[in-house]
Amino acid sequence: MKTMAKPKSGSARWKEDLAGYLFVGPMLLGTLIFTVLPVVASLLLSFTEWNFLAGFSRDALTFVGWKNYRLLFQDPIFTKSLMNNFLFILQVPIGMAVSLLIALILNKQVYFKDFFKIVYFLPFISSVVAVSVVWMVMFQPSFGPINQFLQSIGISHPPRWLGDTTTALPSIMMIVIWSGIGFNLIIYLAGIKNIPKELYEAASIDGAGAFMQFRKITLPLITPTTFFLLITGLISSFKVFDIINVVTQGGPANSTTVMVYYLYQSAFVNLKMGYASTIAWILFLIIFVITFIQWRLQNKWVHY
Amino acid sequence: MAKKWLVLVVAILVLAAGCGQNSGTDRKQNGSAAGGGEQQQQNNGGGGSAPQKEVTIKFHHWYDTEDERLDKVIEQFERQNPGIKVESVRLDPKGSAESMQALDLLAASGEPLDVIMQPGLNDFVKRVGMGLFEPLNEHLDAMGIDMNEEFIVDTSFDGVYYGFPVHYLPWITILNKELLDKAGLDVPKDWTFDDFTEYARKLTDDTGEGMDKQYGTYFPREHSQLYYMALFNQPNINALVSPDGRTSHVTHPAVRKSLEVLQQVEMIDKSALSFSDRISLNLHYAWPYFNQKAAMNITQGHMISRVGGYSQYPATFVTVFAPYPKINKDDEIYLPASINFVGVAATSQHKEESLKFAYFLATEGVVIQEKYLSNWSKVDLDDLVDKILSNTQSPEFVDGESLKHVLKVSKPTPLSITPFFYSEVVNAYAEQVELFLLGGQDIDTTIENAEKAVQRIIDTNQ
Amino acid sequence: MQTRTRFVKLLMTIVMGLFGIVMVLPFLWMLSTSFKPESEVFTYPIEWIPRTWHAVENYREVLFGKYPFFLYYWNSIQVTVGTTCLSILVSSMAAYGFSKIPFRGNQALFFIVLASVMIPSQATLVPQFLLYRYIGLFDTFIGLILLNSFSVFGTFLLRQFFLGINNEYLESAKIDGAGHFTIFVRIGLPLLVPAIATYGILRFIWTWNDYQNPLIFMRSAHKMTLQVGLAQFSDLMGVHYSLLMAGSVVAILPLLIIFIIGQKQVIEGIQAGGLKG
Repeated sequence: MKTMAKPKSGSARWKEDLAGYLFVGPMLLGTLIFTVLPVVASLLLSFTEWNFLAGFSRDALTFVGWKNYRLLFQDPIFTKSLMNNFLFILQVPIGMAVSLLIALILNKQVYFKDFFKIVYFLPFISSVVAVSVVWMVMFQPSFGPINQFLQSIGISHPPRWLGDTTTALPSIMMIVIWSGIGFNLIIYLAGIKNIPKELYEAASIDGAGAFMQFRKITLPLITPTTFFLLITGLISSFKVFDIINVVTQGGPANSTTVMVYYLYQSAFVNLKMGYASTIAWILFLIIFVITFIQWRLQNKWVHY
Repeated sequence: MAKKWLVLVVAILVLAAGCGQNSGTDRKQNGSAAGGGEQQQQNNGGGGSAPQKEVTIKFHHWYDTEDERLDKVIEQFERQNPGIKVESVRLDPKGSAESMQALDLLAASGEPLDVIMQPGLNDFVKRVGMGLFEPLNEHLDAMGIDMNEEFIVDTSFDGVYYGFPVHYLPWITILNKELLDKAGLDVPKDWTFDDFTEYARKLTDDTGEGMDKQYGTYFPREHSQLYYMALFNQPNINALVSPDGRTSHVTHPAVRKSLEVLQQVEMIDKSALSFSDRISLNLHYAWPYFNQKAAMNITQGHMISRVGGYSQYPATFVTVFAPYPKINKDDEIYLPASINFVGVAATSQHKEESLKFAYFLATEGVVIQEKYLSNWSKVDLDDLVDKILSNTQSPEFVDGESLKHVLKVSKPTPLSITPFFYSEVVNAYAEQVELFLLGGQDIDTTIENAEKAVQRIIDTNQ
Repeated sequence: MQTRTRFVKLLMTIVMGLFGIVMVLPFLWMLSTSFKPESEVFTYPIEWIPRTWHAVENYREVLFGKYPFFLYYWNSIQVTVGTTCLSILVSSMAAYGFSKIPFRGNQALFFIVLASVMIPSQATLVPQFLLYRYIGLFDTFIGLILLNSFSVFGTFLLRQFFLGINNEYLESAKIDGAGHFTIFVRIGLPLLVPAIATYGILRFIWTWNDYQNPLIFMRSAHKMTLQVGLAQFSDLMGVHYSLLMAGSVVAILPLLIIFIIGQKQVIEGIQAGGLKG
């Protein structure tokens, strides 16, 4: 950790602490009020059955202990959604790798670099509706362009994409990777920009080729960015909802039901707020553990 | 350095603008929450004893008031009831489902609510169970309203009334007359599911490919009732679970019949676009019909006022109506319907006025709207049909006589109260049906698995 | 050697160009749909060139029709600019604190802050909503701004970049008597401009495109933001796509502008150097 050297003496120490708290203060305060409080509330709610239409009144909340958790672990839909989420995380490293590749290419290897940046960024700012419609048409199993193309090159029974329980989730993953490229791209570009030119120049002089330079200079020096994208990517991956809601609504046959989608159904369709909070907390624990492990491991591979 | 200060200054300015905006508006416009309160204070001297004070009641719904002519309804009501003002609140423009979410949040946070609409029995039952609606029996007696006399459907829960049925949205079959004539078929006046299947086959034109193909019918995913279509209109049992939430009806023979129809039409005859193809098309359920890709649809009552064409889909052919199919030739014709409800919030501060408006909506209001059929017994149904159809874009493209015939020969399916957790049941059932439609399992396995899944949900909700 | 590099560059340009077409498809669909009458929106295969030119009617209805489009636009601008500025301020300060000041509880606090986003918003929506009503922030622009201004994402991103700044540089400033605030403003921030610009762009886009929060946390019709306002182009029979897309095309313009300016002026203009190694 490259914070500055810790001052030794007592009062200087206090001064450092004070400075620290002042800097992070606004953030902490805001997070505390607007996020942490609701989060704690939802933890408490997972131990209740809450008739939330009546607000927080005494008779609306019934304490039920671990009942929700017990029911959750016997719930086949929840189990399915859990598995779906774990499959879904694969899109994070794949998406990052693709974006890094594109970032490197766009950085040095093309003409009209700025134009391309805009082009590759467009999906990120396009309306979710537009993205969904276009991809649903592309993936249409009987007469969409992708399968038409596959059939024309001789594959007689191409996968049915969104219309099949085994390929629906991978199809969504592809859409998510595709629309995330713009986002990963500009973050990687910012990270690459930070690498001093002199390093590359020195390496060239020493005779290192492009790939060598990538391995020894670029890759290590963008590890802070990679770490960031990995953590935030994993967290977002577990929270995926919008694309499922618009494109498949969890189907076909719950093959694309992810935990947050089931949570949403439990809360706002089945009106079971306590149960939904339980799902949220299991999700939280999973994300927390995974992130914590990543955090601990960062010293092994992240170079600041 | 300058950059940083610029950011700071801009931020402060914008925050200040935000603050200013808020307080300015409050002073000028009595934000909705404050407005009700003020009136309330003025009215504190007991219900109706100060007749000159104005009461404002809120009406929460999801409609475009102009499109749905609700503005005319409100106008008429206010004219007949000087002293009551109705404030219309459109919860979420995206639709009724999203609106329900917005409503629930408002209710949870103690927002003053008065008159609330519900998109269907299922939603209504859920919220009655959560105490959102005021029991109306006493108020109804005081106003001299006899629910049995006024409305053709019984909407009581254990003898208690919580709201009025507003729009009557029967499930009927709409058929493309041109395509019917081309196939040499008569307009069905009374038919079975087997007839329906045969019609679907004859109305399918195999000469097209892919999206050029014209199918006999179309089963949209949004209409999950079609997954148990033969059960849906039955007089005694017409939902997947009994009203007390204890018994599953998945093994009822009508459910099997529904699956057989689906199998025959979609998978064997291929007279409807297959589920696997449908799922990847972002099509609204009206699209295939208006674009002549599906010659007929068993569809819900909203289409009645739409088949004459509207902004998104102009009508280009004549539509005729046929009854809901029955299982056996000698069965009676039953007509299932979706009904939306309007009730009075239990927390309302103006229950008398709200009840008046709710009653008005459900009775004269529907007639004024001229958009939907009504549950009111005092309505001349034929007349209403004429009015509704004359309001469509191209009335010449709708055969009103066939609709009147359907309404005459059909008996309304009695409303079946569904338990609180009915949406979970439908989801579990739908999951099995979708696996079936994808060719992954046969009818017996589907019913078996569905029964297990539904029973599990029943057990966890006891 | 030079010809080979130029050839590779040309080849890459073509390849990326081809893939780029796929990238642009949704945007083209948005444009194309906004020019069509509603009944022609869903044709299979997709008709990119509208059969009937309905653009004028569509745009006229969206911009000057039933709903106060420009008022929504202005509302969105206020909320988005406010959120972006405030969150840049808060996040950069916090990022500096978490990365460069060795105060006690540094790591643990950061992890707690990070943990707060591990709960999906759908679960905290109801408690958050109730909280907002209770403290009176409901239906206010301030409330909406505050909702999105304390983003862990920004703090985390900027922290990563701050950590990359070599300490000797800062230590020498300290020896010269500079306090943390001075270091932050005079050294830290200028070095972080590409990262801050990147975050600013992202935060702008997210806030601008946010539908859920303005919908839930705002009530008054005249305070609606663009995304909520556009959703009004739907009725019982579904979304009115041609109008929605016309509105969305106009709505996307500031995002494009911000991105183009941000990328060109700020990120390109900075040559990061002399700090590492």
